[in-house]
Amino acid sequence: MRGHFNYLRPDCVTECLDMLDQYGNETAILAGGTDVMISLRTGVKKPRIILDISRLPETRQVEPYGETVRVGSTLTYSELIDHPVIRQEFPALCAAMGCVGSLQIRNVGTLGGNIANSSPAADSIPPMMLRDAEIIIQKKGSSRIQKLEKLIVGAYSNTLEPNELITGIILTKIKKGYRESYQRIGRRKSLSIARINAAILGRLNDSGVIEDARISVGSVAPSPMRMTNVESHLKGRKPELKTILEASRMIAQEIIDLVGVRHSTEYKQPAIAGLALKCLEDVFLDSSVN
Amino acid sequence: MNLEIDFCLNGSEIRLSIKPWETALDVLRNQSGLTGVKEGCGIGECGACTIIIDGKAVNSCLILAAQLDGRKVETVEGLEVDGKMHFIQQAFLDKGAVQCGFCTPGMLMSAKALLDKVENPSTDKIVEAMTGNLCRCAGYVQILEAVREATCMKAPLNKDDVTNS
Repeated sequence: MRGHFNYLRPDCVTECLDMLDQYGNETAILAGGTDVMISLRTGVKKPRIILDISRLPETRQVEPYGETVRVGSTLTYSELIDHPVIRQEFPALCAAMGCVGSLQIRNVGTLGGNIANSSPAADSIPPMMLRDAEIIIQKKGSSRIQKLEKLIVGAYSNTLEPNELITGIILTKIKKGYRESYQRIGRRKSLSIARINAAILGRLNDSGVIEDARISVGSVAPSPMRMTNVESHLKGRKPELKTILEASRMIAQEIIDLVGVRHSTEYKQPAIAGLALKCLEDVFLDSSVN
Repeated sequence: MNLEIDFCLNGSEIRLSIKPWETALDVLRNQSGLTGVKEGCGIGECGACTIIIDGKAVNSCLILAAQLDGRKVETVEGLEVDGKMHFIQQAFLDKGAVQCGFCTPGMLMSAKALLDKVENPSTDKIVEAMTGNLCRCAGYVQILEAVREATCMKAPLNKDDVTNS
């Protein structure tokens, strides 16, 4: 049952940080509200104050800056998917954001909210991890920038303090010759939480050898993670089907080794390998044809 | 503690006094009497409570009433003008896209948000716009046909607008 709370809607980040400084411990931040509203309904969250940050002008811009793009934290998935710079520079992130909930959810849900919620199955996190995502976090009087991998420390758990606010995300633009892919498995196509999701980014050099490979897998461990061993394994090899198949099996094995054999392993191990294979094919096999 | 909110509801500017914890769904139904806004699941999965805010379809169960402040809000009650049904409503009738009717207001609002924005949407686009709305009578085929029909009903209208102006 929904508890009672006050509602505050600051007009600018400075005012918002003042409010967080004063009431942070008893406040739940509402950006799009698609997660918070459910926690309020079920009583999982019982804040004294709801702080609506959805209209902070400083958090609603997409600003390309050199090799990077700074993305405002309260832009909705729909706004980002429709944004020409985001579409051009972040195809896997766009694909991932397109998988979130339904259009109604994407019309209000935000990228900052997806990070702050830190769900193991967050769609946007694996593709952002591949683009060196850095999170801009502000509190009254200071700010810090933290790598996304470091910010998220476990399932629904992160390093954010009650008086801190995510105001933006810095992502590296796609570099020449790189391709990327995002794939997910859910119970149904829309309105489902990912059971397994993965993003892969890579590049072949002029001789058709894998020069860079970055792999991030979500939903299978407490937080989405980079598969650095498999990344190193792929580098310097030709993307033949045999190599790609081997890499996809390695990804699955590494995850099973990490989380342990469970009742779901019999399904998950081949499913992870299959999903990784799809991504690897998108990135390395199609491009070798070109 | 009550909050005062001002917003545009189905074309009229209104002011309401609300509780901070009330959802848009609660307030539209209980204060404004707009019972076309249905609560199905209450957690943003079924789309029965879909309304349009500033041109975008959203789940009113996941929105606080306080967030409506300053926005332009449309509900199914705003579709009919001067006793004449909206062409999307007409298309739903023509195609038999209504069975129990519970999902219909939400379906209509999702369809309206799409057709207001996209002139001639592809089938994929229609499906994408409607996937956030569940129908447990399983009338999806008729519903998608109705939206496609509405697209055709809208297109000639627009051509007339162009030739008249």
